[in-house]
Amino acid sequence: MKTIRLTRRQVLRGAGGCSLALPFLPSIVPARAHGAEVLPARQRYFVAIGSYNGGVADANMFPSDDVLRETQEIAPGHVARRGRLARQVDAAGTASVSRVLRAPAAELTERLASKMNVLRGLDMPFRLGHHSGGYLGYYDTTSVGLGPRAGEFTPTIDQVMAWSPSFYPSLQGVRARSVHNGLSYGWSNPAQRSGPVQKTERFSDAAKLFSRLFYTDPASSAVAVAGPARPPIVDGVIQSYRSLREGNRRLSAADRRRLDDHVERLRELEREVTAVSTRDLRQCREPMLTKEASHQAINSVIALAFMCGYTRIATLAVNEERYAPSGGFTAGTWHDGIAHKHNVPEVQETLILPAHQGLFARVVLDLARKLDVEEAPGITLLDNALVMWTLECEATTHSQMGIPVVTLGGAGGALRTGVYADYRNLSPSAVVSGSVFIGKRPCGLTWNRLLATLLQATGVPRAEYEKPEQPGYGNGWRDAPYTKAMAPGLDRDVGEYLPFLKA
Amino acid sequence: MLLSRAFVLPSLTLLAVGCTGYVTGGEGSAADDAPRGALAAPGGGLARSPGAPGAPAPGASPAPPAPAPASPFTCQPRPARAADGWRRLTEREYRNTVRDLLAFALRGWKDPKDDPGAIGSGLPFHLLPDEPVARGAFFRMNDDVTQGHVRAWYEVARAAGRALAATPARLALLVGPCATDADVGNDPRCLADFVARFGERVLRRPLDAAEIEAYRRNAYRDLAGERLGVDPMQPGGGVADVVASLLLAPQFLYHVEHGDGPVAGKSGVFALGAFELASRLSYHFWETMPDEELLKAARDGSLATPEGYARQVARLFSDTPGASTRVRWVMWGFFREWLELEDEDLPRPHLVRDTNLFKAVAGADRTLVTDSLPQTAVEEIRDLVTHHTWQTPGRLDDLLTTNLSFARMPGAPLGNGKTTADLPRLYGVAPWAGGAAPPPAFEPGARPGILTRAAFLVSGTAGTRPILRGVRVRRTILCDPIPEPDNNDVMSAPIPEVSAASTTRQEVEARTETMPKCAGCHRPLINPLGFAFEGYDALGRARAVEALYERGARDPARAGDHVYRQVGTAPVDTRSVPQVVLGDARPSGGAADLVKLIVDSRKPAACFARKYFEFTYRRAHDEAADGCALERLREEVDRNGLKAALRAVVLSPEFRERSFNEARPRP
Repeated sequence: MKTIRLTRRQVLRGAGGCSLALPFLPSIVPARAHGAEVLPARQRYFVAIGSYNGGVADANMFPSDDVLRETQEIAPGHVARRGRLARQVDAAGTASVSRVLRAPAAELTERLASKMNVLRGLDMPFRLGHHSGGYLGYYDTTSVGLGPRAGEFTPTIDQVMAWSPSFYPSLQGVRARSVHNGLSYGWSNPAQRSGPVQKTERFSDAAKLFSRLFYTDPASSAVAVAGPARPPIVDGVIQSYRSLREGNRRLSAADRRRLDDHVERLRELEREVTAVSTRDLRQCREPMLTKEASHQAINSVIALAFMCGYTRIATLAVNEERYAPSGGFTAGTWHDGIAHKHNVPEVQETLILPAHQGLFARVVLDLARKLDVEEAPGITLLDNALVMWTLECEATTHSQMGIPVVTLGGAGGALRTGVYADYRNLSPSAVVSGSVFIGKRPCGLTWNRLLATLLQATGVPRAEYEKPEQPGYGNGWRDAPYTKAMAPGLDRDVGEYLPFLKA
Repeated sequence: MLLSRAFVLPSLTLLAVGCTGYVTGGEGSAADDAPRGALAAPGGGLARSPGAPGAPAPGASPAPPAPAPASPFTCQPRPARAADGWRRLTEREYRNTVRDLLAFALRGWKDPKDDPGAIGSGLPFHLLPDEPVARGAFFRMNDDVTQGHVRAWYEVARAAGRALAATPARLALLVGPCATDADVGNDPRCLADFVARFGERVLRRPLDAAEIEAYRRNAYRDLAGERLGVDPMQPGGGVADVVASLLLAPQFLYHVEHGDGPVAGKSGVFALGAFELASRLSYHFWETMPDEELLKAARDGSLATPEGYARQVARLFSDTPGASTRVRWVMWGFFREWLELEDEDLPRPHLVRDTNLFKAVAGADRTLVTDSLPQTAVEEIRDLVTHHTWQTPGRLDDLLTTNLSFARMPGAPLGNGKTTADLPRLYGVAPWAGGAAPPPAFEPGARPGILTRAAFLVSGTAGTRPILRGVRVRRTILCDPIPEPDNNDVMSAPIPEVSAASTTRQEVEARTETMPKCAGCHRPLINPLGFAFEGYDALGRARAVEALYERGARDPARAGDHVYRQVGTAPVDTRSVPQVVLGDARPSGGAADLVKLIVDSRKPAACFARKYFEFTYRRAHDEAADGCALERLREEVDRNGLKAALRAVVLSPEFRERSFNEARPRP
């Protein structure tokens, strides 16, 4: 088995502090990554980045409406607008697409800006308040009076992708179908798509993620546990579970499910520990080490893992507070003290805006830059990836009407890029208000349509996730005022690509 | 004033269900005509709103206590609830158990290279996934098994196997002298004996002959089968696979229970077998595998006798050096999680100590706000709980009322390179020397119990945050549910950090008690509890007045910050009608009164019962189906105190049985 040999010492070298010694990709990635010749055509990658709280003023988050020069009636009476994203560079050398979406011109290049989309007018059309997985389709129990039927939770779409034979037609060399640090929920038995939907394995920092993906064997460096490698024993372990499952000892149905779930996990483990990459892994073996802050270190691990074929899916939960300027933050928590005050101009300008600017530049764009290395001639990992950044709430904290979405990458040619799309229906009859909704908001398109778009763009066909009676992904619940504001016929298209995006 | 029927009924409904956030039914409803602050009281009367005429002055004694409330639990025969699947070992249990297994495997080691502690520290435990836990739940209740768990367990098991079989010396310790002697003919027997002996520890029960043979054969996995002349006892050989296979067995990773005989009168419920009971006991009190004495009691049948069981319970729960360390640590874990004192729960005031407003509020005491203050505050609670549980066994009430201070001297080691912050100075009390030294006492009523200590008072801001204080008491101490806020009304009218004209209380009242959606929960359930602690500032210092600040211009010396100027003071108002028991109109003059009302309500005992039940049985309680167990726990802690209740749970019949009932389909 060909494996990457990274010693425990290497793994742990930087783990003691807030930064971690990890590979700095631009310095180690050759102009053309190894192994491209054996890659299946346009295999796709998915990264979802979710930040908490929201509260970014629309004027800060979105590009100017001036660029929205095209319109399309997507349903009778519902006119959506679109335009090309325009990158502007100021005298200080800062490039911007909007007030939040900005970075030094050398980082937010024209090339990267052309691979972005900004989407406005995507709604979770029910009472939610807070969630920790709604970004990707799991509207969790912290939600109050949840519109979705209680207890009917769906896995997040990264897990649908992870266990999709279409997304992963081959698992060769894949060490983890997906990795994440807090946004992901999956079936207890994902292979059978059965059992309760639960949190999935999560990593808390780059060191954990690095260990999960690059760990092989401590024997080479840990004197205390020295001993020669042994062949895998998973098959024998599976047998012990089967014996218990099929024996004559008393078991409850839940016990049997537990054993069945575990056996499926062991099968996946067997695949993982015998995974052989077809790629040239020399670049993964002895990376140049440098120090990066935690999210940037995580980005490096993700990019390296994508390049090495160890995984193709990652989701990240990022706290925007970490990118806020220090000094003016006097409240106990960002949520109560800052996000709740999103409509205080000074708070918006001095804290919320710079926090999200920092998050975009140092997390979202940082990852995109690390992925923008050639995987095949003229095609980068980013071209084959779909990187999405979204926020827990829209401009008003606790509200999910018109949540901003930013994407980077073309999903293997599936998506058009460079688009600013505004799906809001601005006609007076399409205003959503009352009941569980905060204030008055224009009706846009529903979140389950965004999720369906993400799934299809990453190669997962509708047949793999859609319920016959319910187009789109997952929960299709809408509270009454929303349904009332929707244009007639919009229902039928919920399972389709979002307008303007299909290549 | 008469109340309209339209107001009384929604209010009563609200109180019954723990408030929904929708009290009035929308704009223009009859409820909007009701007076603000009015609450339905038993008998249809009005409860006084906080600060209303008739509320006692601060420090005054509250009205005579109401009659002792009835228990919320009813013990009636009910069908046992459906079985949950086996819980996996928690991360702590897993680490402890592997550690103890290494010590068992290498007992008698002499060469430092064979030190099981060193070997254990070299195992890849870092691969274990994080264990997030929902607020209000316990780590033990987290039963998610992810791919990360399976992968980590595999790598740890493999590494442990290799380590134990790495050298002849370790093989001799692990398997026995027969593993390394010159006679290869005794190897099969030698291996079988090892599997039986070591396997009993790993699987926490004896192995039958078929299991011994199955695990023994693992030693030959890479040798194309067992045959003459093949030696699995080589260093780095097949014994490693035997160890790893055992460490990956379901009986090791899960709390596997099959039950023994049926329990009379309880359909679908079976008594635990002796070894299963030994495991439950050991993991409950020690969070690790049964030791030799407990296994022996299971083997010889004595554990199945009332006397033998009581003997083992007493031993595991005893104050003997080894046991007391473990059981005290584990039981503190219960309190720590119950009282929401985990690291991630703690405020971090040191993060804001350099802001101008915090500087103004803290004054000279700002230097006391170090990064060890949160942990110091938790250590004080730990010492307080330890004192009243183990050293001077007391009652749950003592935790809430004690005037003893356990604030240690500053500079005492905290065990992570940090030292204790100067809590005594914040309190204005003499420091406690720790150990057997008598703890100093506060003035009577000055700081009763845990709720008036830094761990519950320090806010992490310059302001006191009475809402969060109230929520915490309501949810954690009284076990009353409070819905999450689900609207942004408070965001459209945020509570300002400072006000030149109003106290924190006044600002909170103005923003949470005027809008019906907010008032439904804030007025009866949250604010009155929080206001009672306004006599303590954001650092936990006692105060009678609150300084009022005006926010001035931007501070050119600190980006994003402002200049603050104190413009006056206002007396703090700690009076409220806290409704510890919903509908109880008795007023409170402040923290001491509130604590008395809380103690009188007996609700903490019921809350303890719910929480300790969940900690013990690793699942959410079912007030109907678990009514008998809950009521026994409540009575025990009420009558006999904390230590007795912590122990008594394992003496209840429920602890010694398991339901195998199937979930009934929903109608």
